Amino acid sequence: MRLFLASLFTTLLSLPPLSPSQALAADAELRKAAEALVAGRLDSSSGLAGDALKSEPKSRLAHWLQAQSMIALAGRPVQLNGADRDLLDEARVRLEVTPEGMVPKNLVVMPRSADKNIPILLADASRSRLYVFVSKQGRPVLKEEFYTTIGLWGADKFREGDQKTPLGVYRIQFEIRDPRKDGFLGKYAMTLDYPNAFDSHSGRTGSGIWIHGVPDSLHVRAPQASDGCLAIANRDLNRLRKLVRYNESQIVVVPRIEWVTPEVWSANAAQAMKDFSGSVGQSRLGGIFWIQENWPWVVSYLRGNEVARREYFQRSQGSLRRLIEEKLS
Amino acid sequence: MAQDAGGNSNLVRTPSKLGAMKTKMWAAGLALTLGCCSIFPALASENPELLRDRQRAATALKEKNPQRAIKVLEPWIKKRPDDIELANDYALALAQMGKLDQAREVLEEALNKNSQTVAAFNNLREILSQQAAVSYAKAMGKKPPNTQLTLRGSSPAGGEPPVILAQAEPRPGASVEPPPKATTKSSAADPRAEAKTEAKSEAKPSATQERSQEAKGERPAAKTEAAARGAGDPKSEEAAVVAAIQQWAAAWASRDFKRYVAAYSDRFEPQQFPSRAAWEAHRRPRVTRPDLEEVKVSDIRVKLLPGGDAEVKFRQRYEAGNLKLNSVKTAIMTREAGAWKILREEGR
Repeated sequence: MRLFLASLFTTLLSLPPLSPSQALAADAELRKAAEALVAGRLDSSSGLAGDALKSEPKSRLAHWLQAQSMIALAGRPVQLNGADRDLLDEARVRLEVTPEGMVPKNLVVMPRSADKNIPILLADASRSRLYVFVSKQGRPVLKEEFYTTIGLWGADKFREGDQKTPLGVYRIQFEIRDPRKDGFLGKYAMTLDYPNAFDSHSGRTGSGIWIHGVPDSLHVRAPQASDGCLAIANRDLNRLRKLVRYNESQIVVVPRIEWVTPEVWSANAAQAMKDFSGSVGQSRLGGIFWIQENWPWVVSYLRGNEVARREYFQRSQGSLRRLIEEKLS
Repeated sequence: MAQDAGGNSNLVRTPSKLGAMKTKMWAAGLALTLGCCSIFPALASENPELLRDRQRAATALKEKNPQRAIKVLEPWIKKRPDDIELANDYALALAQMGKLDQAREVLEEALNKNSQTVAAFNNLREILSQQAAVSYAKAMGKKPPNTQLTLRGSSPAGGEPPVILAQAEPRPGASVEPPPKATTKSSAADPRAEAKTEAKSEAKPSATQERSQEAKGERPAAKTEAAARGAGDPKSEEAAVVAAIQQWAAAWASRDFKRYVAAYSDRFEPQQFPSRAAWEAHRRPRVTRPDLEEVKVSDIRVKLLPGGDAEVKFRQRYEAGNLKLNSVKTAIMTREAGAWKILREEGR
């Protein structure tokens, strides 16, 4: 009993300050519960999973973490089989913590929109995370972080039907109500303009890549489960809908975000502005983005607040070569 | 423990983490225990020699000399295997040496041999297992299993039949009893309806037939058939048979010959022995051999036979000295005074 109280006490001490929203609370609690389970703090993991269930009663992972905690507390061997894979995967990506005080290198230069509230979305395929950033004095500031499902076979879509999520920069174009009659995709979907000019140029096919919700009976789906879309919790989708501006918001999908210190980010941004100054000229910049090595840099341009044009560059050792120019309607 | 997860080699990374979990769990528990309590022997020990030796062991542990503590405690633990405080000291010494599996066994054995704790200890495990099964079903998007809890009342006489409790059908919005200790934080918003576990501790000889909540009129045919035999529904009967086999193995594992023979029916016919007395004389040294390390049963499958008896098949792991046996056993079980007893057994 004393042991139980002691570990309970340490748990209470280590809990983060209360999050402003239920959705965020559930994400934090699920991560804490998974951490406690992996660390062998079974009373804590069981309790934290219970907390997560209060915030998010539909979370299968919370039930699973509770089950595993109790199996171990009961002195039974933990046995895992194929049916556990989705939940193991979800626990694994949730254990990945977004580094604090760091900035994504991938958002090299932020949009110079007149309206500072226009968010930019950044998806990390390897961590199954969708971030919402806004620009504050030209720097990316994190507003929201959501767990997201990506394609069953991961990222870098190439062919129609390959069940992969595309990498690159896209506009969020418009909203679809009831994207599927049976509710499998939730109540809303936001469309991406995949394929972009680079995708088409490099022979990539397919269409209909969306950000959508999940069936009403679920909290979230497994980290890799969709046909290539991003599927997020319905509660998160409602929050996202309040932030996104159609044709003004962009999403950058990268295989893995590279987090850098603000100083490194500033140096990179300054260097990029210098290198790209010849191309940018007097145009209103919609942002400069870096996807990964051996991938073209993407520069977007605005008309008013709307994304009007994209250019794709090969950039190496300060030399710059424009590959494609894409006019958007 | 690691082997359990290791079998699923296709599930790389995380399973191995979870596999390592158990070891870590003990390490964490140890750190907390060492850190906060119980290193000093309680003054309740009535035997001054034991008290002195426990204090010597505690000093040895503080000086990080677990070998000395083991030496001091070893003769005592053989004399008093059911002394929980002593077992705890001994387990701390083993744990300090990194022998976590042994430390756990010592603690489990003491809890199992001590008549004051055995029922509560096993009931706690049973409840946790049951809750785990419900949570796991929900995690997998399946209907929670409608299984019965098999809990034992504690009584000085021992050998009481298990008290079987029906697991309440989970109903959303149903009022939920405050669950037992281990989960107090967990389920206020949980629609899972716990079986009312508290009120059932008074064991009654015929309690097997009694169930706190009827299984909601399910399977009326099975019920009448079972009633004709004077028994509960097949599910709870199977659970009771499984529990009887587990208790038989537990008695053996704790070298408790009295409880071991109590698992056999009065009508038990030993094969290859002229009389029950001859069989007991043969079995006693084998059940109580001091170097017995492990008796474990698994894969218990029960078939209820038309006559009211049951056939049970299980895998048995036995380890003593340098002898290791893995065998499949079949036993015929029969009801006697409300409890399942072994009528016949055959090994393979």
